[in-house]
Amino acid sequence: MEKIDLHNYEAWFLDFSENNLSESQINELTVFLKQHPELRVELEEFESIVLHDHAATVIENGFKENLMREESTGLTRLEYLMIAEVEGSISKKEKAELAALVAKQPSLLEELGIYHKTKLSQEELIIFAGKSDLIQKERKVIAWWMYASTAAAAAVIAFVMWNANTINETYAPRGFAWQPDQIKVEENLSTSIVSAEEVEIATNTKKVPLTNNTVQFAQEKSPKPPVLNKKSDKREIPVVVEPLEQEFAAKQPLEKLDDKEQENAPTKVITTDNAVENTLANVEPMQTKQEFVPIQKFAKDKIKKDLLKGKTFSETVAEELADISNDKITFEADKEKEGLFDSFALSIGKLSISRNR
Amino acid sequence: MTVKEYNKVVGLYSDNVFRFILKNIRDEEKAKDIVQDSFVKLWQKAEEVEYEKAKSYLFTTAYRTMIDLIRRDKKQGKWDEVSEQSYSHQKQYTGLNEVLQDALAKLSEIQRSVVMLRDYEGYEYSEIGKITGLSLSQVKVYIFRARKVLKDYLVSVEAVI
Repeated sequence: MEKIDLHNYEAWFLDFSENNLSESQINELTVFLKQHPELRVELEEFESIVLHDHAATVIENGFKENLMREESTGLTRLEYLMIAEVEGSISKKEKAELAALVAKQPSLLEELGIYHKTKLSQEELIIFAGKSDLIQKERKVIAWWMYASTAAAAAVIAFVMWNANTINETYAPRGFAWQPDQIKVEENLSTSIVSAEEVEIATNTKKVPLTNNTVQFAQEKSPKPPVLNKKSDKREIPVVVEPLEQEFAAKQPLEKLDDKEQENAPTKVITTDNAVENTLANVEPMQTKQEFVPIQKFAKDKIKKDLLKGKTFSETVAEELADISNDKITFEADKEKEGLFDSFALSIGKLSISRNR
Repeated sequence: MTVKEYNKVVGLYSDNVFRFILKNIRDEEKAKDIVQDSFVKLWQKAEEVEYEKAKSYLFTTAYRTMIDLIRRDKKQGKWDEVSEQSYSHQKQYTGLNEVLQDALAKLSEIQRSVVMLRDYEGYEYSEIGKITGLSLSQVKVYIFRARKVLKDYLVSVEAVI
């Protein structure tokens, strides 16, 4: 008999139904049916007609079991057992049943091996390139009172830095804005007051009649036009220290008086008392070199002084900020045991911030 | 789920979800879109989804998005064109994995999905059921039938070789 294939399988089915096949031929038919499961339907049609007559033979070879299908999966019993083995869901009873079948027909081991190959390998990796787009930035949640604390700290730092820059210049008390031009004028006046010429005028105070000589003196002291230095091509501006009354005298030239009129002429008296004289004598020239105090030292000294006066740190800061801003600043807070503010109220002028837990 | 945990989920599972979708639809751009959509949905639900359930949530979302996409493409006729190309096997195989990938393509979408969730992700039948919306017994049936198809394909290819 020819080997079973798609062209002659019907003859094999017929021989099988008539019980004309040997055991080896039945096995060959079984393998063929596994390769072409769609043909089982046709065999079942033969079987339905003649199988009962050959039931004993089929049962002996386990062929009937192979043809029966699982209700749930629609697979044959053998297929079900093998797949359950691969899936790891096989029971002990089913495992024993499979082992018995394999023992009967060792070629089933090969088939079982193919089922094991259907498992997909977990080692197969596919990298998702857009992973970085999916990452979310971690955002820290900051309570609003932390912003307030940060703002207060920034105000303290600004205050300390402002003080460090101005401590050796002029510290304007509350209500007075800092005016650098005025300070410079004061410096100039001080310089002119202590100049030698002025001291001489002050010490030689006596009654002096106004004469043309006085006018002449005033004219000579009037500023001369700047002289161009050809070598350096720089203008040299003569520095002239003028007596306070010079301008007045120059603007009002006096008429020449005769001797008699001179005797009766009113005398302009420049007087100075001893107090002023002494003050002028004791005036020390201004320091031209300024000494800067480090920020930390200044802040420490300031806080120490205020602590000694019984003020709290917050009061010190509030006072200094008030000096800067000309606003009324108040800060009240209650403390908990852990040192955290339970509640506080900060007001700067019209702005007020408060928090209650 | 915190932001930190969410980012950890991205690191752990984005590759897996991408593989799961890509193997199913065989379109890299669409697979990327589905993965991104799934993570966007996870991020939107980050406060509700626990870290331990994030993987399951991701696969469920990705699977349903993919099914919607497949249905939409089928209506538009795109799927047939893709299928025609992917189902041709006039080539020489160099390894089992290559054969298996082609065999995978022969499965229905649902069979393919359950097998991949089972083999790649190691899910139990019940977990696969939650992701795909199937009962436990349905999952089992789909997997068993899929194994049979895969095995027959391997046998047929071996016979050809």
